[in-house]
Amino acid sequence: MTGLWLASYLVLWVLVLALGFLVIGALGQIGPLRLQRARRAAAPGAAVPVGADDGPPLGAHLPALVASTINGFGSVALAEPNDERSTLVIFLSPLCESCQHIVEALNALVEDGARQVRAVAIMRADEQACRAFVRVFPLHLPLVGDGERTITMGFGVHGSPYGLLYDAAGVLVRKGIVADHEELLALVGDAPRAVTASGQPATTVESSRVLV
Amino acid sequence: MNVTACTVALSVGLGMVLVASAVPKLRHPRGFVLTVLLYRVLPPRLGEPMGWLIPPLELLTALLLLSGAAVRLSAGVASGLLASFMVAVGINVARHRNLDCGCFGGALRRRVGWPLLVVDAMLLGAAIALTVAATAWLTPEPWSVWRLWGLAGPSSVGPLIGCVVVTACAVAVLGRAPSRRSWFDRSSHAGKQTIRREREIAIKGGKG
Repeated sequence: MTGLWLASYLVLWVLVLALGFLVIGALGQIGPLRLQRARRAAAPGAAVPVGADDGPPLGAHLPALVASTINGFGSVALAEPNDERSTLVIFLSPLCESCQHIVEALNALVEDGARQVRAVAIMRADEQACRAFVRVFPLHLPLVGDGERTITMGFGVHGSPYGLLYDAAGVLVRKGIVADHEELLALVGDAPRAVTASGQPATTVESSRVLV
Repeated sequence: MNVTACTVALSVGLGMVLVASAVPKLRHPRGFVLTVLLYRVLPPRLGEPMGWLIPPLELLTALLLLSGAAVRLSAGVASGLLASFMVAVGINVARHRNLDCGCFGGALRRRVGWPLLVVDAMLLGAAIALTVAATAWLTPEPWSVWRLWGLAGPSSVGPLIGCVVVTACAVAVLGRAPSRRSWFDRSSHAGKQTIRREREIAIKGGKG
């Protein structure tokens, strides 16, 4: 009887452990599954891609905003009339995990000399939180703190990380949630599937989502 | 219900909570470091090493509690950790800050507040009770898997060392694993199916 009790105790102990890990794993999948569901609904041809309601309408002009940066880039002007590069304005939040993971891709993007993109990050957090963020996740592009959320609300952006790509003339050509490296590349034009402001759909698919 | 059964239940329960707390943090350690900094309780120079130290300590404590090795020591460490969490949460509740607690890394989001303090207080109570009820500081309890399976004697510190080694390996492995996968793995069967389905939709959408 003692042996049986012992065996059942050990089996139950192992089951508790296994179930615990299963619960942890399942909890971690809630967010990705919800995102996947939203993206399926946003397949090509669908009316509302993920994040399409956010931000200014396509064709809108980049506002002439000058703001001081947190991470040693001095003052930065969003609209640079003499700059022939596109401008990526990306909205981040400090504790958004996707924002933390996109940092390396953003750094690679701005350090790639061949790509004609300049980028400015706007973080919905006060200066102290922004400083903590760049301390842990060094960002090699100008970071503007937006603790009062005036800039974010001015752009009408609610989600993060959210990117707005303006062409050299300062016209908004693409926008959307950029939760990973692939989506960032899709936003800046590497992924052929991205739907552009001119309404031309892509011919092949590599990215998992559509940007409008 | 005798003392041993209570000790086993408390030890396993507390161990499970600590595993659930440690694993997501170890998978994305820098995220937790940032969380610690955002609490604004310690200066960044102290907060940063604390952020790196807490998740491995949680995992080691959890392994010791779950396997019944060095229960009194691990319950004491758990009490210290929980007391420090309560202080940090309490300070931010007093500041009326709307802050993510970071208790379970990115796996479960909770805001700091009174409910969290109550939960922490209950866990702290369990950890203190376990510290009192456990019989040994560094050696396995009579009910531990080490003793039941005959892997260690009553005065062996081997289980403690074993748990330290397992923790070190887990920290190395979890830290290297991608902390956030894309919503599907493109190389997997399901991923390929999804890509194929999206291609079909894209072609239809293009024609439409």
